[in-house]
Amino acid sequence: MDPMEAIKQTFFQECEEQLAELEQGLLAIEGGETDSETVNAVFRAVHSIKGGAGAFGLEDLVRFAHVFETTLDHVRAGRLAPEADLLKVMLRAADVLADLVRAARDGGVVDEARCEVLRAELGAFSGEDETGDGDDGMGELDFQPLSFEPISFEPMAFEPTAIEADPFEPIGSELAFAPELAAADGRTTWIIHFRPHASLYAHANESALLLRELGRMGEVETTLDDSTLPPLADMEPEGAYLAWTVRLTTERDLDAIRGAFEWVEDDCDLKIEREGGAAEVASVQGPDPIELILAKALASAPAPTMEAPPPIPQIAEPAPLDVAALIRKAQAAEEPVLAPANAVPAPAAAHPATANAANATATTATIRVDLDRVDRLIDLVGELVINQAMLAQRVTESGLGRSSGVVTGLDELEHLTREIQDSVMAIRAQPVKSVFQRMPRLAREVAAMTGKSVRLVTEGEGCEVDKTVIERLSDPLTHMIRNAIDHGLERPDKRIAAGKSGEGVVRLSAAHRSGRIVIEVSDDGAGINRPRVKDIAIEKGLIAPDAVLSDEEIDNLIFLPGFSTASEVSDISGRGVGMDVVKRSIQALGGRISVASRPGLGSTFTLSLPLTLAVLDGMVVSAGSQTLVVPLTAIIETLQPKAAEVHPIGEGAHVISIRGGYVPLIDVGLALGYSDEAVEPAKGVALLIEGEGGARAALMVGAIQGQRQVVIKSLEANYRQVFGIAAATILGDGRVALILDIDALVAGQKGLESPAPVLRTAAIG
Amino acid sequence: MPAASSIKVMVADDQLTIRALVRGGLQQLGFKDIDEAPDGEEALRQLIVKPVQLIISDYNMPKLDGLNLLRAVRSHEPIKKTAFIMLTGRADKELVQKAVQYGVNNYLVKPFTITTLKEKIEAVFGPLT
Repeated sequence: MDPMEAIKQTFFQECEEQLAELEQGLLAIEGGETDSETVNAVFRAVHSIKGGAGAFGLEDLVRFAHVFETTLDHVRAGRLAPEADLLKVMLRAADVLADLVRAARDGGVVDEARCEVLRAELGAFSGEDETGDGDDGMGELDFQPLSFEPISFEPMAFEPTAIEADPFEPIGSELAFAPELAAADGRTTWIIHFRPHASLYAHANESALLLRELGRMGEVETTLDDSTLPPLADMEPEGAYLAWTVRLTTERDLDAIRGAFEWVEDDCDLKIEREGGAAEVASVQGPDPIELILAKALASAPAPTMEAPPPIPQIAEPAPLDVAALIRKAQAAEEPVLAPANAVPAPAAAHPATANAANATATTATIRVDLDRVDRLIDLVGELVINQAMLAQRVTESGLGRSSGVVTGLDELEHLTREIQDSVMAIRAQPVKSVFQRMPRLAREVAAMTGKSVRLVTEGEGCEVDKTVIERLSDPLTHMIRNAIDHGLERPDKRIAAGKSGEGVVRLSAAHRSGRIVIEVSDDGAGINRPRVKDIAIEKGLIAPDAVLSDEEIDNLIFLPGFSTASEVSDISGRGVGMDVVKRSIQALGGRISVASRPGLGSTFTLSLPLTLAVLDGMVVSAGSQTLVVPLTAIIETLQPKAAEVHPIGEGAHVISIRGGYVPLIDVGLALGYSDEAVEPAKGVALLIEGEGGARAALMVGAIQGQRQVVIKSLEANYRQVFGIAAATILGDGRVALILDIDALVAGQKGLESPAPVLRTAAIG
Repeated sequence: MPAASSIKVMVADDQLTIRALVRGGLQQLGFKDIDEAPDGEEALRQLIVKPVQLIISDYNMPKLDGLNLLRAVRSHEPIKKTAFIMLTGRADKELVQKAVQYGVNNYLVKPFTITTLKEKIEAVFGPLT
């Protein structure tokens, strides 16, 4: 890759970080953190994006960032208060900025009208022309023209003679540099706040003389502040009650002005600032913080290396800085002049190698690796696991004793293989933050479109899960957040009428729970409107009109294909995608989704997902002539049923009584069409399983072969989706086994129970 | 006429992109020993350990901004006279004047070309070889 292109990629990566920082910062400010560090971080994010964009000639981005930056600069300088209105505009501007960055990266198109609107809105706040190329006051300064031409990395020859022909006048030295600026600048207006203390007069100084001195420097406009002047009776004869504000327009510089106050600096409050700039230029209050900064740096820096940089002997006579002398001086200086007592270098740290090592560890905490390489590694480890399993099986078949060296060695190998697998999986693991951080923007947009007021709270962003899971989580989560705001939350007036805050809260959280990641999306809205859901389900023929359903069953109707509660298809949620699609995509990830709802208090959707898609702990079973794998996480217990415990209920359906309770009994071979006859209860094995939302069922299989870790191979990618089957795997003996989709099986069974057998047909078809 | 390869440089900028651009430019100009720091505090720490001859620093950085880095450098005897070029995101007159007041040697407005970079360095050191 050519170096410029590589830097550009770095720029886009960095932009993503800065955009995230920008959004977080703005949200923090919205939440009341208006300290200067937060505001400055936000400013810096936009400023940096603009700076980098300029280097690559991304003019659209520069133009927008410039307007944004100007507004933020006003906020930073305290000229503009970060009110709610402004923050809303800035958050939307951050979204546009993100779009512009992505458009620049991927070559897409950005809604020009939207940019224009926000540029105008930002401009209105900052009170400036939104064209983006406002006068920054540099006109009269002798700056070179700004160039957006990127640095060229083509080999360039620098002939020393070329410099003489250069049109730009090199600036000679810092001495020549300073007067040039001052001269080019002409007159400056300063605002001087001067409040003498009583001691000033006691030391025989006179305010009038000082003011007269200022008068000699240029034009003055003096305002007297007598607000602290007490009534005559309370006045101290030697007190100081008057203060002056002097507006001075002069050619003289700050030092000259300060010079006038040289003898009285300790006896007055003095503040000199440039007119129009809120930034304080000079103040005599408090000690100079720079010494504190330096002391801090000295204290934390390792001791200077004894090996000083080599002098530069070639520096010619007119060099403005005598670097060689400076270095000699540096070598000569034994002790840092400003070093505080605690900064005396520790002897152990004096070794240059130690310092370098410390520096190295501080900067190389992460490496970037091509994802393909990681995936290749994961594939190989998967093969290793299968291979190890095959080997183990061969050894067992060969009839070697349990205590033989081969068997114990193999046990160790298995242990190591598992560890390698875990470690490799950890490489692919990423915090869910990358998905979560896209949601605040979504929430804003949906809230704006629906006229609702929303606060999105996220928790557990640090939870790690496989990269593929994260990638495929984005769509379902997007849909669920949309739903929560569009369907879950009520309008502000309704909320207030119901005694809630006008602002709805949508909570998005992640947590690790027993080897899975659990993600919850909850809202504090009205909850699922059960009568309405039931009516719709009846209307759409999903359930029989006389069906008697529990609350939980009604809530779960929203996951049925073709179900949508929005009476008119809304702009946000009604995109032809319902909760059934969400459910399917979660199931495709080996996950489960369930809902809990309380009328008037809101709904919570819970996703439970495996941490990795690559391996699974499974129970290998036989059903009919097939070998199948049941995910171990779903199995509660296995049991050998007696014929008397199995009871038929209606056509082809059975229940089994387990310790006094009844659960549906599903004959796996029959349900999946591997055999025509049900397994006789006494001859088979029943696996008590728990599906999503805690629904229990018993799976009737022919026999249990064993418990094994299997490597998951996608069936969809290699064949197509099959009902009741989640994926496939290769067993130790080289045979292919299918992994059961427990939830689909249980759902199929539920369909059998429900009065209208729609589900069953839907599922099979 | 100093050789670029003999001048040690510290590039302080919170943006990796800008550091990479400056480094790329410097390398093209023949500079070899180039250190980087993502903020003023880190730059100062490194400078105390390993003095350089030239500091090219961004103005707006977290922790310690360019102006305060300049002030710190100028008030620490061993590195007091290090050449200091300030990078600014925009041509801010007030900032440049302040920097001049604190003893900056030159300034560089982003985005810059390699020619400008060279000029600014040569304005401080004289023509590079």
